[in-house]
Amino acid sequence: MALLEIRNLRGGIKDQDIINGIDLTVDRGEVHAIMGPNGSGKSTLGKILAGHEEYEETGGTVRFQDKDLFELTPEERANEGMFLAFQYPVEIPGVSNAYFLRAAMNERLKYRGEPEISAGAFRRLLDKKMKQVDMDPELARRPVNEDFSGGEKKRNEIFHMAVLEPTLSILDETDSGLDIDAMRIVAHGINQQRTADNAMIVITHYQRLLDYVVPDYVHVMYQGRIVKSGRKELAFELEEKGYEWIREEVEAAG
Amino acid sequence: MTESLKQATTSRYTTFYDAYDRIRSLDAPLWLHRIRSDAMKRFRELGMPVARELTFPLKEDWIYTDLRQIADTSYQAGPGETGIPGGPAEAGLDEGALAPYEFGQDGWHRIVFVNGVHAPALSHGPDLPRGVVVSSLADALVEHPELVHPHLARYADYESTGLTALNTALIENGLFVHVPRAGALETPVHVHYVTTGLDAPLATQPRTLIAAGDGASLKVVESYSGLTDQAYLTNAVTEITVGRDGNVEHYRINREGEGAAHLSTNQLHLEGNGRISTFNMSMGGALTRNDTNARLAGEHAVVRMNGLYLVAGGQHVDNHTAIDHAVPNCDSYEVYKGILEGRSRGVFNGKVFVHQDAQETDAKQLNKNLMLSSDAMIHTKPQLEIYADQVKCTHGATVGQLDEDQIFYLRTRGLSHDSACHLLTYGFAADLIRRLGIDAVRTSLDTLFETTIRDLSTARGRTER
Repeated sequence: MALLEIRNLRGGIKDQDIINGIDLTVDRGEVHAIMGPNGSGKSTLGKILAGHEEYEETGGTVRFQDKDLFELTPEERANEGMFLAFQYPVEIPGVSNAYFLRAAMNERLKYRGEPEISAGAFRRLLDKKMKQVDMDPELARRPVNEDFSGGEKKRNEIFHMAVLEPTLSILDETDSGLDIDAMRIVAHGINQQRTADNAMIVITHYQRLLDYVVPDYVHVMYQGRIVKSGRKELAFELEEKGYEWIREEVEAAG
Repeated sequence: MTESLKQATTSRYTTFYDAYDRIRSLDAPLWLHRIRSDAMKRFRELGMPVARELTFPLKEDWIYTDLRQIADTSYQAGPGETGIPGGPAEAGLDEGALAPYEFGQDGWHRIVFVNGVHAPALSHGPDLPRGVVVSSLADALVEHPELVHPHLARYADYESTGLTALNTALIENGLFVHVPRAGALETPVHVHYVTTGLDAPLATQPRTLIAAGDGASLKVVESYSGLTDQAYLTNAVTEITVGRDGNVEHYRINREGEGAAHLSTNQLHLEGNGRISTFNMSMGGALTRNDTNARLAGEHAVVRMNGLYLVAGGQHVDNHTAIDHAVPNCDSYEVYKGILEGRSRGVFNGKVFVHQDAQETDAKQLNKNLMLSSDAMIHTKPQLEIYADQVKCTHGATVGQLDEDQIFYLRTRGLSHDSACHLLTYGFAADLIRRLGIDAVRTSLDTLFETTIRDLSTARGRTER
């Protein structure tokens, strides 16, 4: 059984389907890139998978670790090992990153029937992960994302991911708004998390992140469907030719 | 109708008048007799501020907080001649009963009042620096009348406010702290006004006087706790005065019982370059009204006036603050945050007066409210009156709810809906607590705050399902 199996998924927001029948299988150890022009439904897919209440699935099935994903609340999905890195990370005033991560960590341990992590052990884990993703320790003490720069917010998402060690990470436009140096750091952080046991779905508009986070598979979304899949070379092709030829191909076929 | 209203009005306050007669017969310095007598005269004229019986502009201050029921209640006013009903001994109060309301350290100066009566057995403290007085007000009136006289009833106005007049007429006991010129009282003082199980509704009139001389510094925690769910009234007056270059940290914590009415007037007076930071946390009581007023009387004085109210069920909390910039070059910083659950009601009214001479005033005021229930309500009103032209004055008021995007973000990290609401509620006001200067107070209030909102979020989760 694959880690994630999406079969003919349809869904969207307020009675309007944005996803129009997606099939995707993701196995452990794989990185899948999902590319596509603006408005093609990439981010909607991420939000439906993570369980955003404003988005609704209207058809198809998704199985995550052999469980019916839609039977699970957003927090259950998270505690089962799913992680959504937000395109626009949300500010949580008054709650420090470290405090919040410990709360999240303990919820996860509780979900799995394990004892809570001690303050000392958590501190050590945090130090280790901060080094791993090149995170300024000051940012761990500050309220979550509050007054963070765009780059710091994205880096913080990767930091959360590193601490929570998800089995499936969905990275929604993690490269958007980053300059090339910031993107390198973020990409390095992502690569640090790649193992044979976990998987990633990297949603991106541009190919440049994929120079650093090299995907095993590339899928192109258009009008709510995956219209083309290939290996990493497909990303180069898209970078070179843009998305126009995809549109032409789809329309020619349709 | 007119007849019955009149009757109700004439029979009001008789127990307070009787209490006054009793107190008047006790030994006291002549000047105190005069103050009490003047105050009683004013109270007989003013009564309690019941909105429908007031006229403009006084009415405006009481429009959302109705004291009529309190005015019509016949309270047992003080211990009476026989001694101490429900006093420490009878109430079976011991260290254990007070432990949940303490701040986790033994070395502080502590003065405890139970049902308005000083409980020496529960009061203690380390040796005091030379010239420093920490004692009950009654003891201070006997032992150091010359230190009390210059300050008592000099700041809190009993001429125009009925509640202050009532408290002043019935001044009997409370806390007195005096730190002389250039003195420093490093160890905090905790004055604890406790109300415990009673036969009849009791009214107490706690009086706190804190005087820091020029260059003196001190820290006081003033807490009010109810160990009963029954109805009772606390009508407290606190006066704090700080001399030139002096520094006072003041914390006020209201954990009154469920049936309590808590009325308080807090009058701060600052001389040049003096500093007062006050933090006012209201959690308890059925009805709370705090009037906190600061007068910046000397240049370069700085007052920080922060508050947090956390109410649920049918609780009502009203904070009226007034900052009087009388002279140039003073700063005032004020942040009040409220968390309202259930059918609770909140009122915030923040006045800032900048007199014509008070150039270079820097005044910042902020009131933020988090509504956890659609049945809760807040009235918030910043009120700036500025008569000087070279000033920086800002104010803001917000009323909001928990943000769905924030809740979803936290849930994608594994927090349950309840935990997410709890964490966001905590985060809403945590900055105020994090800023508190005394470690033990900060830690205790942080825990108290967190536990309280955890209970609120759990209750909220239940009602939503």
